[in-house]
Amino acid sequence: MREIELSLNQTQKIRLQRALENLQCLSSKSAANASVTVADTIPVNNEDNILKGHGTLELDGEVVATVCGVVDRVDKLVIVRSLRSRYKPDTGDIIVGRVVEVAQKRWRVEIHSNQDAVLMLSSVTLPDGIQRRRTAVDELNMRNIFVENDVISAEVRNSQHDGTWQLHARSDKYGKLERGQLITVPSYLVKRCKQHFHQLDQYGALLILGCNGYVWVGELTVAKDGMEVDDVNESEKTNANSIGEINLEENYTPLETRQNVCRIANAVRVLAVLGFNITVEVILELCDLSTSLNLDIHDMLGAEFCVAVAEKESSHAKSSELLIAAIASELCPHSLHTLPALAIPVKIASSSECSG
Amino acid sequence: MEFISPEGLRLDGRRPLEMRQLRAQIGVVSKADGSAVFEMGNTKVIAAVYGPREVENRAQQMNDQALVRCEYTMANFSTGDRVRKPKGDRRSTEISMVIRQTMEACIMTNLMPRSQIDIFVQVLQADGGTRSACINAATLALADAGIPMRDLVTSCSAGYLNTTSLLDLNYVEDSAGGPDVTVGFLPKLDKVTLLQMDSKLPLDTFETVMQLATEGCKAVANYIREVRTLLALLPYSNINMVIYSYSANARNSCLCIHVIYPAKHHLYLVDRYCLRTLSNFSIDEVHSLRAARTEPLEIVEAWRYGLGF
Repeated sequence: MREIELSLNQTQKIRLQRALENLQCLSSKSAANASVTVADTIPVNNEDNILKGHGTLELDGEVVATVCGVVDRVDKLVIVRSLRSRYKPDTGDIIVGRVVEVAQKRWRVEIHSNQDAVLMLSSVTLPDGIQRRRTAVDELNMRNIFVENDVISAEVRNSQHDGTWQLHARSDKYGKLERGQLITVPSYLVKRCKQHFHQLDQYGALLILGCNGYVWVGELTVAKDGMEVDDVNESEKTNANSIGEINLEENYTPLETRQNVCRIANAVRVLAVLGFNITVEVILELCDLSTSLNLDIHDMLGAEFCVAVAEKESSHAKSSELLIAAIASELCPHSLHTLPALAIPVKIASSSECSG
Repeated sequence: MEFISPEGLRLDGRRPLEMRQLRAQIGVVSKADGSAVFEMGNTKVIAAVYGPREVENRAQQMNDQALVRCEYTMANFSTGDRVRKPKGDRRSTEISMVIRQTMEACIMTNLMPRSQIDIFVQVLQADGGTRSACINAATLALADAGIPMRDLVTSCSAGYLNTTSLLDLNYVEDSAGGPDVTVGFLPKLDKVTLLQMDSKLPLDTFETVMQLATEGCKAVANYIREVRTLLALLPYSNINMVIYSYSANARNSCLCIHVIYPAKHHLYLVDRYCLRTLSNFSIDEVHSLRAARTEPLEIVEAWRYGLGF
């Protein structure tokens, strides 16, 4: 029942609808069958003793769902995965958050979860890599590191006994994020994967897909730590390093980079509007699509581009399903599928979870 | 005043035990965690849910359960005469409290300690029964936000005018000054969570009126679940289900689902995001649907997609 909030004309509406239908046809049907709403009875065999997990409740001997979602069964454990809810932290997640309070030896960070997370002073590395001395003066200087409203990237460390989550930023790649923009998307659109930091060298931009649905797109300044970040060749890295040090004080981002950042950010926004999974491959593909269509950056948020993206993705999914091209061309009267296809096959809306 | 005509029809043409048309839509506020619009006839209410999130006022934080807050407002344009309504007047404070208590009873607050859930409901069009519509909208919004609940609480009102019990009072009937019973009901648990009444009623009449309101609640619950039941039925194909694509309605392309239960026929009209039961479907229209037939499974899948499952 979730409507895509766009002002579409009649043709665009039909095209979008058709594209989404195509995508849905290709997605797994078994997951859709296992969907339940609040207070639905989940069928279980009464003989074997069932373990009731999250999202379930026992009522007169029946197992009843307490959230709308998909039923998952692991051996005897029955859980209902909720489709749309706030971010639930997990140890090791890379997140982007906003500092809301500077307190005693800690920062409180808003991470779009049930509660704010805590970042202890002892679990950050100082920006220039010097060892911290645990003194009172050091605690007084906390505001030199992060202040309120700073956007930071960090990793989820563990949960306290009282349910709050601790973060840590014990690496050069974590820390304050500057010169860029923060986009909030529903957290279920960002899937956990190996790589959440992406240096997009061709755009001069840094992209962080936070597990909590906060996406950071910013200027790529210093290649921070060669070990952690992916695919940057050595010469460029040293180059960027030296430039970064020179420009550290100078708060200037070239126009072209700013435009690129906006383009990437808008690609993320389009994906969020359509409810597609957000991965770096798809984002880059959308950037290429928009440039090949000669679209201005602000036009990317228009209805036409959204429809084009949906159609492209549906035709992509079709071709990856090895359906005959004739059908695809019939289903997509728009000429978009003739555009040079990217090498990476895109998986979109393949699980029912991202269809919300 | 004559509230029921000699033919047995009410002022708006309904029969005494008939509800107004229901319509619901979720996901209407993009920035909210969950949101819904609920319509009962001309009464239209929008609800938005934020949370669970960090408690704003630390003093109110509870270590064993979530804090539920609710704010009820009426838009200035919601009534016939445009009046500026001061925020926090007695009436809206009372209704806020009623909605909060009703919702608190069904949210599993113990699962979200030290957090806060905000429910904002605003009446966009007022035509009687705003309280019920608000509760229904809030339920849908909470379910949309993925907040664990014991049951979907539904609400409906009933009254007693001209020695007849009336279901789902509209504004004119409401302002007649007769008794107005609002019931909040948990259909699965079969429990009443809210019962309010203005003015007096004899005990035996009260029972029938309350029974009527409860039936109304069940009807609302059925409506909310209608979509769901249909889908649940689909895999077990002892029920014959025919799906037609339908675009006779010029404004909106629609899908029509024709469910043939063993005993009776049902026609559902789905315009991708909402589902309505169609009565008075003429035979010509059914034929035109048959003509426009498309692949059934594809549409159901698309429909599921639209529902977010």
